Amino acid sequence: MIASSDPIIQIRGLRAGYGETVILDQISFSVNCGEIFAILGGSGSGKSTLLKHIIGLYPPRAGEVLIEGKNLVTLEGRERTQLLQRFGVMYQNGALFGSMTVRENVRVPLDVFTNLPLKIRNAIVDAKLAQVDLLAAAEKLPSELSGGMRKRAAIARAMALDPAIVFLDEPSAGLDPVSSADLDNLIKRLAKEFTITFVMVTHELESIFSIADRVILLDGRTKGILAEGDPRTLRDTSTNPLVQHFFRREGKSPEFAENREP
Amino acid sequence: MAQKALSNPQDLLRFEIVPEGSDTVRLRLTGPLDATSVSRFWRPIEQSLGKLRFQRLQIEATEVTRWDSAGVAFVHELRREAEGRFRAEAQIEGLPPEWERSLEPPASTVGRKPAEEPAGLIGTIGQTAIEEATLLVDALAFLGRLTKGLGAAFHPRLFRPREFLRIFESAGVDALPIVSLISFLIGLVIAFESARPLATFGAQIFIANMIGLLMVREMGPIMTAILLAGRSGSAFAAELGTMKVNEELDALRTMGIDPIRFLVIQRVIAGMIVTPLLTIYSIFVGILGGVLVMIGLGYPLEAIYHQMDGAVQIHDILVGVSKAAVFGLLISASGCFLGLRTRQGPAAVGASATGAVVSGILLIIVADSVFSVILYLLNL
Repeated sequence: MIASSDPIIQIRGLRAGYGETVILDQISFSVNCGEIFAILGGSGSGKSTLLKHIIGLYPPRAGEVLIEGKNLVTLEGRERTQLLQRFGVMYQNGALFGSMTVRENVRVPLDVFTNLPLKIRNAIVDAKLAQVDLLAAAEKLPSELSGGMRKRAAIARAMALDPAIVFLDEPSAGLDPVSSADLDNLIKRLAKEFTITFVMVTHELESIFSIADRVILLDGRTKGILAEGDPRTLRDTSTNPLVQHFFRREGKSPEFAENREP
Repeated sequence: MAQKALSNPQDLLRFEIVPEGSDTVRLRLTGPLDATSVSRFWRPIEQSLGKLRFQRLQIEATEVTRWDSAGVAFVHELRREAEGRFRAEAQIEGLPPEWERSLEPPASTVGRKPAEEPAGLIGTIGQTAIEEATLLVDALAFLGRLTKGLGAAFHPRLFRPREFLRIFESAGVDALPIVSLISFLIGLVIAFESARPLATFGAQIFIANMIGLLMVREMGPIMTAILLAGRSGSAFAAELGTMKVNEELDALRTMGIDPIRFLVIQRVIAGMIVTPLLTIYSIFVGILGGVLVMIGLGYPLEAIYHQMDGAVQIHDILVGVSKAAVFGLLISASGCFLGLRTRQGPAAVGASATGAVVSGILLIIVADSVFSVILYLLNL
């Protein structure tokens, strides 16, 4: 499923943390165009921290994050905004704007960054909502939606400007198994149909095995990457007991570290 | 061989402290060792042990009939203290094996950073100073970004007129009833309170001057601003704070949208427009209250009108209204600022809202004092 030979995201020697705490260090990996990539790890291993550093909410302490070869930290003004538009983010609880309907939420990026007439913008929103199967709820407020619907609306908003990458923070968190599986299928379909690269943070084994092309497994104790590769291959062939424990939920409990994020 | 025995009145736990040889002490526990007996006997046991000198402490618990966490923690603590204070060797006999594990120091705490020591007085002063300095720097940065946002070309898509109208309605129109009530009563009270002292000089007609000047220059703007700080400053802080906790601000940022231009500017502009308007309204209602009292005192409306007309000049009204605009700016800007600074956790939004009210009122009073000095110097 790789559409281009150059990796779409490159991370080199990243050191991540908040305040004086270093949570991850010497992180290097790359994500290929069109793949579904998962960042795995136990609670507190720094998955969300890594995501927040990749999408530019926090500047790296050391190292660099390149998205389509460009570094968010060094860009300013219009170039930075353009790079930000190359990706969308679905936050854990959707982070939909509470005072706006689903339609208005999805339309925000279009309203702000395009000069299209309202009817065209609305048509785009309809298309995005249809893709996530949420057209019927377009005029509802986020508070009237279920957890799964909220996440789908957030994906629609993340895709509003046709980004190359969509980041997902814990897509299955707080969802029942059926909604979770629906969301997995949606992600798989979108990745295939629109060649969108998905990078997701998760610890949901079922989603990982059913949709992830490649994963990295973070280890909070060493603040580094424990394993990288195809999740099924890792599960079947890795001899590392920590990796085995994560993928099979068996073996001696390998205390994934306790660095809590603030 | 000396023997010391104590029994408790309800015959719950019995303990004996038996010196054995020159350097060994045996503590024999019989009966239930639970929270009840531990809370009753820990002090006598420790005191009795404290009087003795020993190198070995044998805690004999084979006769203990019931254990709970308190009992286990107690013997563990006795052993730890014996080892620490008396540099003695201590052993526990008869501890149930399932509890044995919980007395080992948990592996995860080994090598962990010790809990932060509470800072002393100087440390606390230093920390507070750093926090306040950070707040000030953040406030200055916010002010800069706000000015830049206000100065930048008016961006209708970021400004979102409908959202602006919603804020305008909730901060302005919805505040009318409370502003009416408070202003009316303030005008009424001022007139009443001044009626008697002024009567001694036969100068009750000057109530009109007082009501007019006081409402127009001071009470109108101040009362409106304080009400707005309580209603809208806190609401702004809570709205933006909830958005922050809910990651909506992060979402804006990763979309490349500046939260200041998307959320703050319209609130600040609404505050700056709505406060003067409400102030004018408040002045009218306040004067109405005072005038009603004067009519009650027997003054004809025409006389009151002429008296007030002579006292209140147009520049007084301008002073009141421009004060109100500044107060509106301060309230909404500080509310938004504290909202954006909201920390994580369920209590954070409440703290921001409270902070917005307090800092809003503080800023209003400080700004009012500055106004008074400047206006005095300008002879206005």
